[in-house]
Amino acid sequence: MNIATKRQLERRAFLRGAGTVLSLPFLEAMVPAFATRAQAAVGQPPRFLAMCATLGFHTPFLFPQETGADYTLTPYLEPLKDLKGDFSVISGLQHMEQNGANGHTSEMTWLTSAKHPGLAGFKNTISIDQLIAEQIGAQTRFPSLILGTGSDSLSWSASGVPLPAESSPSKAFQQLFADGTPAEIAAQVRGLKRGRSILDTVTGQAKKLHGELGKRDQEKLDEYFSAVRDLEGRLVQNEAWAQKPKPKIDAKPPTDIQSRTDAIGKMKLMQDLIVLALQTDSTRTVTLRLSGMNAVPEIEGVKNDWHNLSHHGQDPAKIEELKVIEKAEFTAFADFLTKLKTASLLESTAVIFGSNLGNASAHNTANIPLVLAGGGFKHGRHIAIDKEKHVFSNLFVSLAQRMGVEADKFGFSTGVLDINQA
Amino acid sequence: MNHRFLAALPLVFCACAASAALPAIQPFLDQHCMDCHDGEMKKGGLDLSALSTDGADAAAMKKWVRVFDRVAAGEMPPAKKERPKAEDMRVFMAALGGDLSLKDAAQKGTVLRRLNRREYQNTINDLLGVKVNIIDSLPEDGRAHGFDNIGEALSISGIQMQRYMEAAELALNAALSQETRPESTLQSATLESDRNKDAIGKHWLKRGDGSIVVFNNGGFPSTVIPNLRAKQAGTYKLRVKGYGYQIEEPVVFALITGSFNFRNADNVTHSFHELPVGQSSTVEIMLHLDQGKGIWISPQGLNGPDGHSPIKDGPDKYPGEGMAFQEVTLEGPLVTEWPPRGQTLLLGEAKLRELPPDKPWMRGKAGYKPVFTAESADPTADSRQLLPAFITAAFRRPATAADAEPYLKLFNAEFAESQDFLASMRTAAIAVLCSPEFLFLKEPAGKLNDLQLASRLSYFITRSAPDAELLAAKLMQPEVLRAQTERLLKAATLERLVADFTDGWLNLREIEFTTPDKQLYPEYDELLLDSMLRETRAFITELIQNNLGVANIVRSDFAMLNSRLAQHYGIPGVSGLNLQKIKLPPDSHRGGVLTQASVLKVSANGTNTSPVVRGVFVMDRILGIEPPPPPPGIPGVEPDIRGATTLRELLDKHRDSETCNSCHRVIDPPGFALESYDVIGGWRERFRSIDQGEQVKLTVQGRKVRYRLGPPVDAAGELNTGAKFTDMSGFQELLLAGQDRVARCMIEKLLTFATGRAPGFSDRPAIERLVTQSKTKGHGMRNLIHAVVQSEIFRSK
Repeated sequence: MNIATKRQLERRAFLRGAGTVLSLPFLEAMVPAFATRAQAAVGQPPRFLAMCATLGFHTPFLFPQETGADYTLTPYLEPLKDLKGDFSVISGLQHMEQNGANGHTSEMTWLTSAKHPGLAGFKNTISIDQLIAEQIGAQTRFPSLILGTGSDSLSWSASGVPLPAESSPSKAFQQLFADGTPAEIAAQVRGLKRGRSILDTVTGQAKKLHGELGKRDQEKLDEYFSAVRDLEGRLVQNEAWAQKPKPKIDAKPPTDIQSRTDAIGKMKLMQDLIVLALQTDSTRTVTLRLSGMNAVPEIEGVKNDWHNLSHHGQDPAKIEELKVIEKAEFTAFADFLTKLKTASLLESTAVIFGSNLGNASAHNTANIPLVLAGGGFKHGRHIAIDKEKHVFSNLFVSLAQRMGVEADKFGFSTGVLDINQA
Repeated sequence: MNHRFLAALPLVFCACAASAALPAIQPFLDQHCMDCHDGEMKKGGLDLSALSTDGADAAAMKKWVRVFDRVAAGEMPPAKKERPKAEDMRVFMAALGGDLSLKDAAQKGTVLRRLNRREYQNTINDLLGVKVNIIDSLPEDGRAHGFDNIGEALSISGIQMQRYMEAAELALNAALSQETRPESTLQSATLESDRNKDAIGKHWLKRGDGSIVVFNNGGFPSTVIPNLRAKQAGTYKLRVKGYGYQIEEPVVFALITGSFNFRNADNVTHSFHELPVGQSSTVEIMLHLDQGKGIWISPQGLNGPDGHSPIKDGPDKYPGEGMAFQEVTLEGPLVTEWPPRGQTLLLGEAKLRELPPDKPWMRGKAGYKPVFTAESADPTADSRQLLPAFITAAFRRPATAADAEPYLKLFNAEFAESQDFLASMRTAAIAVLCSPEFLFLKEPAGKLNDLQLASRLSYFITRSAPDAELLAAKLMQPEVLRAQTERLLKAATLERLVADFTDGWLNLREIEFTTPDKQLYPEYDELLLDSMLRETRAFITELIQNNLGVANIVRSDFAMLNSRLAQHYGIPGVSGLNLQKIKLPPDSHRGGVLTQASVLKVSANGTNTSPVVRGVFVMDRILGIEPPPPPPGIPGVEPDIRGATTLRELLDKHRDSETCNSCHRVIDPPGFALESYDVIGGWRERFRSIDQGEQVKLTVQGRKVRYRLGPPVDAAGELNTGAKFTDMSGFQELLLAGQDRVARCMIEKLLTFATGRAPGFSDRPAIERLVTQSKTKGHGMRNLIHAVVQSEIFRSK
């Protein structure tokens, strides 16, 4: 029995169970909320993954001229040609009012949509992945996986505090899959208990302090309380999971890439790790920040500093060289989607891949490059969104709903962008 | 129709409620402002009818302050509109100013300030007498107003809390992992080793004096010194003996430390040095090394004539430049304090003892981590004596019984379970170091007391916790405060203040954010980067140490230079890599912060310069005027470096629009003046281009340059006051004429950094008094620091 047949059967079983007679074509038009239930029935929980390349993509090489299903592949979509039915390329989206402290501050708000990053009065808000993790995080060993090829991440806590990324695939692998010896597990549990005793102690101290403070100081201390609570919850959860064996897998632990400039190698290691994490249902929410660099990346045909190339100033030679880098990123992305698909994870995983910069050379944040893949959506199209009708966070609303979050608004959303209807 | 009206009512109501707080200014707004700045026109993105007047809304308050400032400056209403009557103006300014002042005063005060990661690292290292790197394992700190020590921008997350626990344990273990005083050893090495035997005679030359001459920069074969590693973490004295070979100038090398295992991922460039030509000499360098770290001496900028190589010619016949390596010695660790403070603080009389490993041979293995214990005759009594003292040291104030109680309880619980004195003390100590009383600087409303001033002053000037003398000082007395400030300014920690302050003030922490384009700027190298950063720090240090006036920030008749910078700036007669105070020749185009390569690099993007970006830099960081961001939906101007158009020409189009021009005529001119300096701070009369323009006959580092010379630079401009300048020098004259503004800016930046909050509208009169007071003394930099410390603003929350 091949995978497709198995799923088909289970779908039928679901339809019988639902006591409804439906013709199959209707299934293709299922709305996201319905899709969630359908996926639950085939035994695959919904998953969410966001990846942002913070130095941007040269969009003339990404966005096709034509909209709809009948588009000509652009240079960056070329590597994805065999997956055409599994993704949509989306143009016209942006967050509002992203003019911030400098040209790159919009990377703080890619998953939050907060306005004016870094300017007076700016306070970031929760990122969409963390909102989802709050809802479903307790169901897996890791509420979410926050990864990056550098130390910064795309994720922000409920109090708008930046969450650091894990940038070592081997450490992440260790946490995900390596079971300790009984003695190590016992030591780990002891360590977790000790951590909780420490947190209990400092909470008591903080409570005393709270009474001595004015209102604005109290608000700051509240951040401390929520940090402690958050960690406490995590330690409790970890303690429960520590007793359960970790998933067994065949894959070998990755070796971290030591070279600072092997950006694509690092991206691939992280993506392989994501496949394993999703396959073993260790988490259902992942973010991956792909940092560019102020150095020459190790990619054949690239001789210049990457950040520098992104500020190409219309120099055709630089744009060509930038294309080599960005095409390598899209090729790695295509490999990754293929792996997800082979592992039967793509249907259940909504993947967004793009950048916070629409035109990196001018630090422009409008019309951001974006690909949405998997997640059971109606794909295969270039969807040109009317910027008067939708902003980027409208898409987050439907993606969160798909994950079971009951929300009709996120950040500065102005509505809900249902990609199947767009 | 009716329905719509009703539906709209609540909205109208809200808008009224928000701005009704200022009835006194409404008539003026209606008469002079609302034509352009109402909900419909929103000129420049400003809609006064919807602008919140809630004092807690920082973004809205900032806009109101801007309204106040622009009306006060006569910029608004614009010239073509009817001028408001003087009396109306007065009433308006008084009403709006009074309201803004009240609202700011109600909000202001440093928000409970967490130690940033640099302060945390300094504090914990100073507390325990260790030197661990913690910064890299803590998340980056939030910033406001350029600085990363501003209370409201420093946040904390669950993950960060976990990192704090780990960091505390790491630092404690560093203090608790050595039972006997480490012995200093002297290791000696040359490049001659088994690993290098193939290189010698092929790539490298062995000379009669026993030295090995290396002709390659970095790369292959590696010049990592064989078999030379730090046996333990600590301070070491490194001596490098050698000389320059077949070279005209002294030979320069980089000292790089690292593990040198796989692919050099943890390499850190420590410093640059040079050895004289032909004559054996020794350079002595003090440095901190972590256990197992090695030394790489990497020659820089060695060239040879085209068509020659050591392999082709044979190293003995190769005519190119080389560096002769004689001997490298490493002496250490040099211990000045034993046992480390942390050990004494936590263990008192109880002595640390290493537990023998399960199998004795394990001790010899690489990566073996010894396990320790400490025996106490009376653990409970010891903990009751030691923990309160540790808490006192950590909390920067005497610990009360109530403070100590929860930690003693934690110790008891841990000890009851483990019967391990050391482990239980460590757990209690971690809790102390994760407590809000350690992590945050607590300052109650109103005037700060002696202890609170001690912490504020200490974190300002030494970037760490106050020492015993400071904690005991009666700092509320102005003369004591002054004497202590003077004492701290004389300490070696001044370099921390200068580095951290300039990182924020001049954004120097971003100096490596972009790498200059290799084709356009082939002369750029690591030594230049290192030198430019040190130049600005040395310059500010010089201003502080000799109390030189802020006018020097705009223009100085001296510069802090080494040979590399002097070459870059075209100033003759400077040798050596150490920075020296050099009197500048006339027409050097140098002198002042704005002509320093670090500032010019950090305000450019590696490929091109933008007068807008640099203009904003000068406004914000030298003149203390924060230009508003472009209104929503305005894209940036896209640079074009193909050589046909300059950014200035593109901007001119932009500035034809009245809306754009209202800000850009203020922002851009300082940027125009700086157009004479390229992205690495070199002087230029024409823009370099990649594509079009005149070919250049010039070689850099033995290679012909590939860039071309494009259009000429136009550095002329007109300030919004109408004052004109034709070049940087003219612009500097104009700045000097208004140097009070620069002094005010410095005072504001120092206050921001020192207090952890930006001064607000209600602080303006106090700052004005500081400016007047400092003017009588020529705005000396050291005086400015004292004035800031003595101010009401510094001495209050």
